[in-house]
Formats: sequence, C-alpha cells, structure tokens
Amino acid sequence: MPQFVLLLRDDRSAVSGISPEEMQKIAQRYGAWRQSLQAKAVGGQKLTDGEGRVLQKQNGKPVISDGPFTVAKEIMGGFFIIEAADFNEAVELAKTCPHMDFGTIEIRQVDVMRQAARS
Amino acid sequence: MNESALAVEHLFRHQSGRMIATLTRIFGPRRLDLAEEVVQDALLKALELWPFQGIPENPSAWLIQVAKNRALDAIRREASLAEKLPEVARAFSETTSSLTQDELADDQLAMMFLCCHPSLAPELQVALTLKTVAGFSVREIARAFLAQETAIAQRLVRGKRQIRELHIEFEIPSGRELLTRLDSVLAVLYLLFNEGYAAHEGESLLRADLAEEAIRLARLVARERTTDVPKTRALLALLLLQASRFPARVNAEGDLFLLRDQDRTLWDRGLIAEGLMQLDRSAQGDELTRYHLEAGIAAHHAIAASYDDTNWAEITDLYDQLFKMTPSPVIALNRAIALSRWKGPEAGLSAIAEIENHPALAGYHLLPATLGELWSELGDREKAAAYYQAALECPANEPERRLIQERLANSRKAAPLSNV
Repeated sequence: MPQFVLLLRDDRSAVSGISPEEMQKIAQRYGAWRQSLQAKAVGGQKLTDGEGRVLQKQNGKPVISDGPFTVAKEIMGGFFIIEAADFNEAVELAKTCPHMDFGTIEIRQVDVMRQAARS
Repeated sequence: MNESALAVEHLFRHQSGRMIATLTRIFGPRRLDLAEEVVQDALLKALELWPFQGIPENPSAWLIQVAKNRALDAIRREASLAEKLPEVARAFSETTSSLTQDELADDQLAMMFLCCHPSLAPELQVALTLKTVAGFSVREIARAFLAQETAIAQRLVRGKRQIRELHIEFEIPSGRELLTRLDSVLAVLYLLFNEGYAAHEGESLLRADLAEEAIRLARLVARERTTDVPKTRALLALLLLQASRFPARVNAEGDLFLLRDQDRTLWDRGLIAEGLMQLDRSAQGDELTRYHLEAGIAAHHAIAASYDDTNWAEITDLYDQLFKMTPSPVIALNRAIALSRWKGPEAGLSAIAEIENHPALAGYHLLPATLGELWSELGDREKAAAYYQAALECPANEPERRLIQERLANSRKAAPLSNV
C-alpha cells in the first residue's frame, strides 16, 4: 500500500485565546481522527517549535543558517504518515483531519522503488 | 493511544482551575498572571503533542508534570522565586499531584475568596472567578455576559492590578471576616448560575456550562467545614432545585417552556432530592437569606404534582418575605403572578396595578406578557393581544419572543369571531 506524508503547518492565531474546554475538544477531535484511520495511520511526530537549521553549500563550503523558511505566520507543526490506495484516497483522508481548521496540510507521496513494487 | 482517557468531561477546565489555584498559593496572588501562564502553556503543550503522540494514559498526570516543568522554568528565570522551589516540587510530584483532596479543595476555595474579595467591584469578581477558577476564556465570558471581549479583558487586568495594589492575600478567611467574605463568594455563584439560567439562543450549551460550574463550586464551598454554613446550603439547594428543571425548559429546537407547560416527568429527580435535602440542612441558625426564600419557592414547585396543584399560597407568602428583604419590582411582579394563581387573575391584575408604572419595569417584557396572560384568562382577547404586542416591543431573547408570538397568534385566532 502506498504511503503518504501529511505535513502539517499550524496557524497559531487559530488557537490563541481559546479556553481549556475548547482545547480538550480539539485534542479529542484529533484522537477521534487517528482512531478513524485505524491501520491506515502509520505514524506521526510533532516537530519542536522554534527554528531548525538549514545547510547549504556556498563556494564549496557548507553554510549553516537558521530556518525553516517560514511562510507568513505558519510554522511546521509535525507530520503524519498514512497509507492510502492512491493520491485521491490520501486527499480524502486528509480532508477529514481536524487540522484543516487550524492550518494547512501538504500531502506528499513516499516514493518507492518501482522494481520492488513490480516483483 | 488512549482515547477514552479524554472522555472525562471538562478535564482540562477543572485541571486548569486546580493548577492555577495551587500555583497562585505558591507564587502568591501578585503572580496570578504567572500561574495562569504556566497552566496555559501546559494545556497548549498537550494540544500540540497529543494529536501526534496520542492521548496519554493519565492525561491529568501528564498536564501536572508539564505544568511542574514550566513552573520550575519560571523559577530558574527569576531569582526572586527561588524559595518557591521546594513547594512546587511538593505540590507537583512526578506522577500526580501529591496534594491531598482537602489541600486541593482548600487551594480552590482560597482562590475563590481571592477572586471574590469584597473590595473588588462585583463585575471584576465575576470575571476573575470565571477566568481563573472555572477556566473560561475571555471570549466565552464575553459571550456569556453579552459584553465586548476587550471589556472583559480590561476587567481581568483591573482585577489583577487591584489584587496586587490592595495586597489581597491567598487565604480562607476565618472568624467574623469569613461570613462577610463568604457573602460575596455566594453572590458570585448566584450570579453565574442566573446567567446560565437565562436561555439565550445559540449559546445554550455555554450557559448550561455556567450553571454547572456554579453548582460544582457551590458544592465545593459546602463541603468545606468552615464555609459549610446554612446560607451556603440554602444557595446550593436553590441551584440544585432550579437546575432540576433544565431538561424540561428547552427542547431540541430551542423552544422555551414555561413552568406551566413543562413536562414534569423530565425534571431531574436526583437533583430535586439532593436540593430538598440541602434545603432541609439550611434550616438552622437564625439567619434567613434570600437563598433560603428562593430555594423554598423552588422547592414548592419541585414537589407539586402539577402547575395547578402547586401551593401558591405558600409561594405568595415567600415572595412577600423576599420583597420585604429586597423590595424590587421584579419580585413584586413574581408575587403578583403567584397571587393570581392562588386568588385568581383579578387579584393578580390589582397587584400588578400597584407596580405597573415602576420605572425599573419599563421595557421588561414579562410585565406586559403577564398582563396578556391574565386578560386572556379573563376572556378579553383584545386587551390580551395588545399586551402581547407590547411585550414583543421589549427586548427579549429569541425563545422568549417565539413564545410571546405564539400567545399573540392564539389570542388573534379567536379575535375575528367577536368582530363578525
């Protein structure tokens, strides 16, 4: 089964000033979503807040700079790995993720060796 | 992954109230902001991590652990907080709070006494209690009280500043001071409940939450030995008896049902039994409060087999006593309604005639709505329709308006007959 990575970017302003009750409801929604995926949920991790490091070769030497390259107020929050028959199914599953209310989801398919898939 | 662990209702809200109270005790009321910040950070951390890692086996313990780390971070940042370290370590142990249930209850009670300090204006007391003890957000408080978010935020800032400037202490007062300060705690709970009791369309869930929180906190006050006094029991009785009718007041469509039209089989018998028991226990000492009288009225409704079989004579008498205590025209109007059930619509009309022109009742929809009812009972449909029309011109919430419109339509339905 093909695997897809869902890259979750957060819009923090969507959760600013919310109450404990609302936070609990949101946590429950994510929990319910993971449960609804059953075996199709392969994994996922939260990435730490703050800056990462970006490595780039300049004049033949690696240069380290602070990253990530952020777009506006969105930051990379974490990722999920799911299984889906094809891109369509992956999109449909991602659409049901509560994260749609709190940021954006980028969907990328994990590339597999075609030969291995054929054999 | 443990989804059921989060099924505990209001876990975040209650854990937030508990942790803010304990941290305020440790850091001191001057640092209420810091206590709130630490707890908010811990809850937000859960919100960030749990979607990816799943909900932990023991969510409360997880939150306490993270809050502890945040509190220790704060201590490391500020040299002046260094002496607080042992108490943070004691209050927030590795697995769960090592405080006893009594200690936790004491912290929350002291927090209520802090927020409801009589030198703070009542609207500040309410806002502070809702925010820190009951875990409501600024937005939720604003919605519940139909106020602007900025106004609520300003009240919170003002309240905290006054706590600092007046050097209000984190304590459960004792002796003579206890009883007067308890009055403002009870008054705030009464107000919270009444806000929740007033049905506003679209916000019904939030309002039920307000009422539920008021009851939870009143129970907390009643459980504590020093604050377990007759008036506390009377307030708790009142809240329980009023809440027992919630299931019958509004249906799924948001329609409002007045006492007369309620399906009494929907009333919560458990709450009624508990309310009557608390009322019984409130009948000690020589202090008669409005809570006693109002709970007495609610109890008569709760035990009546039907609207007509209600002991209206006793209820009229209780309203008389209530009026003597607080001479408000709204109480006089309620007394007139009870009197009209006891002695008939004419008696009600003449009682209303005495207060009809009171400026405080101008624009109060229940006055013309009641007059409409009474005239309708006397068979004067035209007068009834005119009063219902007048009631519709007063501010009222949507379910109330629909109810009056329905009455108006009924009185008009028959009206053309008299014109033929």
